[in-house]
Amino acid sequence: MKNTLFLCVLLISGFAAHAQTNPKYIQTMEKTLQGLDSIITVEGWQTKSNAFERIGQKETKEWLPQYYVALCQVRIFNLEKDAAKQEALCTKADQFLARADSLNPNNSEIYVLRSMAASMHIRLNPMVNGQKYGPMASMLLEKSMQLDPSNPRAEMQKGMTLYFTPAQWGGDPVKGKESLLKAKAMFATFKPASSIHPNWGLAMNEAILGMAK
Amino acid sequence: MKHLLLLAFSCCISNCLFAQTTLVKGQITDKSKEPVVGANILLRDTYDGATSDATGKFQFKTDETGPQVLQITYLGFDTVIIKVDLKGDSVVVNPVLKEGFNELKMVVISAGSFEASDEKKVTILKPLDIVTTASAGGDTYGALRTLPGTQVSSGDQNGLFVRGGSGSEAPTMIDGLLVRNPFFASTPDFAARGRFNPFLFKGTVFSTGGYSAQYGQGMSSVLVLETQDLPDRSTGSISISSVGLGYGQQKLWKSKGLAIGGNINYTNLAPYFLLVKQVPNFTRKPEFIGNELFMRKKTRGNGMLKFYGYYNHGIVGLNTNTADGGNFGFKVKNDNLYTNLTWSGLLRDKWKINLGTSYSKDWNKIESSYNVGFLSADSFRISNSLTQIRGVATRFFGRMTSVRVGGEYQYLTDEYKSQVFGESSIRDHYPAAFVETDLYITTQLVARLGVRAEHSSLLQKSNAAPRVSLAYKLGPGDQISFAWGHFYQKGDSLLRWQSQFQQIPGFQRAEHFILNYQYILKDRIFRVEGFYKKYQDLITTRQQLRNDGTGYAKGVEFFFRDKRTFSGVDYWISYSWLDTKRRYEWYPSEAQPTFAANHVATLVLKKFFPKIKTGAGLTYNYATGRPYFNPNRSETGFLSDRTPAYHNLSVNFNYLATIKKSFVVFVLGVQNVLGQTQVFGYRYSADGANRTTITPAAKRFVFIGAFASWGVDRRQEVIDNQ
Repeated sequence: MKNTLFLCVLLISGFAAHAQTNPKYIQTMEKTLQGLDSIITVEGWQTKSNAFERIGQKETKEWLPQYYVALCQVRIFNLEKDAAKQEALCTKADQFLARADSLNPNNSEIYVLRSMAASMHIRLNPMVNGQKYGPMASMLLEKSMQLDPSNPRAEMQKGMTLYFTPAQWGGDPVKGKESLLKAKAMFATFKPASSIHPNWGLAMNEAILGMAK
Repeated sequence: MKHLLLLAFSCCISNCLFAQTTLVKGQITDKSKEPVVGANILLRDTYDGATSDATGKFQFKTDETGPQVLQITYLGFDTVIIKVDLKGDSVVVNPVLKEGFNELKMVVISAGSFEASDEKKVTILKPLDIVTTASAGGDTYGALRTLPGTQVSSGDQNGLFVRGGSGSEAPTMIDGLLVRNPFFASTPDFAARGRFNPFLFKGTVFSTGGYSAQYGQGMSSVLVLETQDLPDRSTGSISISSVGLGYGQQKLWKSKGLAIGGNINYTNLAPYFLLVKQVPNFTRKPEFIGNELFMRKKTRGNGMLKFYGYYNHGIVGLNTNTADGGNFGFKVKNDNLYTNLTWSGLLRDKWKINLGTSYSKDWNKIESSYNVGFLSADSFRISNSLTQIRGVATRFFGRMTSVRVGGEYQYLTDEYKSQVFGESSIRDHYPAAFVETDLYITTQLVARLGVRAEHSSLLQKSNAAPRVSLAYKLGPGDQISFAWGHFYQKGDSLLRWQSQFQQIPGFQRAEHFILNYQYILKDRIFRVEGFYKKYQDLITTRQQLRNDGTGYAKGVEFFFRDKRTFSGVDYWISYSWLDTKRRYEWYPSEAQPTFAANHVATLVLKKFFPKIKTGAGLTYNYATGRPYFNPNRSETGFLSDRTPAYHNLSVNFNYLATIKKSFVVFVLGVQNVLGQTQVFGYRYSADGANRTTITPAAKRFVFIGAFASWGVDRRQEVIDNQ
């Protein structure tokens, strides 16, 4: 019994150690993450998405590659105009977020992205999807803020939602701008858990603040 | 442990010793030889791979050796797997990607069918549209009357009058199970609304002809309603309006995949009738109390178990003057029970199974007084019931082609008890079976071939009805479809005839030919449909009950919907031209039936004003006059008179508000704003010298209400539900 237990502990700790220190994984992720915040083309995001997907199919226990694939879909969605493609992007983002969430439940970052994906569904077809995804988007965002009140991306998503939602559905550009400014301050002090943990969004936040002037 | 280390070490060494680099490269194209840009090329279980460039080309180096799996993925295309053997040097692959399944690009069967669904991409309407129509007044049937092929000026009779068919020729199904009494109890010459709340349903298919072999006993059309699945969250709602009160609650247990809910509604028109004068003298103001209960539970294997129960008690009584100078009093007390239990799920991933059972019963207690001539006051008790089971198994072949096999069994009873005519009752055992395939010959061409066999123990007859539909996609947005089929139906009110003639006639039959062209692009839909319908074996009642009635209907219909041209404005226009004649029931010769108008047109308009948080809707219905029976005419002039044309302008407004945590919608709706005179027909005195006019109970109908909901923002749906 003792031996088995020992073996288990050894295996788990060995595994954990492996996960944290697999240098090739960290290295590849770091390389792929380079320049993420400055991409402005569909092609650019597609290339990153593909790279994260390749890492993800190799490192099946890691949530970050799955998370970043979903992020790329969200960013491509914003640049895409074809409704059929947008729909496919929504579906793909949902798939990868579900995987990330099952690998790492109750993570504030995943919840922000899930909230963003829900908003994408609304934008796709507000009349039809608004009822279902509207409350879902705000619920997911609330949960994200609960899980990590210092997450600047959650505050930014709150700001964006308030800023872009029409007034009759609860939008408020003034409050939206306040949140974006608050997010800006939070970005300044935010420290990611590691070199490969989410640390994007400042450029996006600045861009929307620029529009809000 | 030591061994493990050793193994790892030796692996490492072997890697180092035999490391050789292979260059993998190639070009990715699609079927039309266009380069695919941005495809992901990867070597499975490694980090190695690349993204195809603007010319579809890619290359990457890998240290892996031996047999490996190369995987190529691209959004919207099928994944390609290629086995490669890496031995250094280079490997060239030039895969061709095939476009994946995409609902938007598939042809669909569209002849005779209007579908409202959130789940399917290409539909004419969305479920919300069913109730976003000013003239509909929150009634599913009212909304369907804005579609081509239906009569709009049928305010005197229940039902949908489709393409020259009577109201009884258009049955309603819920989750595949027949509803025998889909309308509230009504009094003669005043149509009632549909019983069921439109928000119970996630999808609606309204067929105006040529429908699937899954359904029977409707010579004109079927309306198929599909109930909602699990809700997203627990909700509650309260409503208060000029006609009544309502309360609803629904609880969701997400982890159990279970939702239970119910609604209670009380309607009383007495206060409204005090304020707005009605033409007939309502001796008993319409009053209804209804309860609904529903349960939805996820079961294993993607299954869903649903129960829906409905009970309603209603009463209405009125008194009108007859053309003879007499007085006609009528009072009905109605109780209606409807239950429906269904299960659907997958069997071994290949078969989709739908099972259902339903029991319903309708009781009417009627007091009628016709104090003229030989007719005396009478009181009736009329009831009917339906017990049914139904099962359908669908087998999929590939992504689209499927075969359905199914059967149903209905046991129907009718009881009739009159003080003057005594008692009678009839029973019918009605089994039916069908088989049907949706055969996708290519993604552009689909054929639906089906046959339905039925038997009625009451009629002691059987029939087999073939049905065929074809659809061909001409381009990205347009397609043509064709439908043909036989549609059988028992006579309605067999009970009444049986009591008079002691004999039961056989099935009546209609044959449909439909040709449809439809063009859907982004937010515009254009549709034109032509049809020809031939009736045979219609039941005549002039002396004996015989199946010797005949008739035809033909026509052309247009539908245009546009959400794009005017910013924020959504509108549609329907136009139907109908030419129909039939000899049935007591008709002496073929004539245009009393429920058919030759030209019907509808305009539906909707706009939302964000600044004032107010939505506005407008509907204009127009129909040419309907034939009416004039006893002063000779037989050659039978039904040759026409009522005046029908006009109806309806408007609605909604104001949205948030009070604390609940969402509130204030609603104002007015039907027939302009107060135009609407005549549905005339009733003559026995000597033909005098007549009375059949009109709505009041010129206008005004509705004011407030709907509050919590848990979920239901403002949008309430806007539309009025």
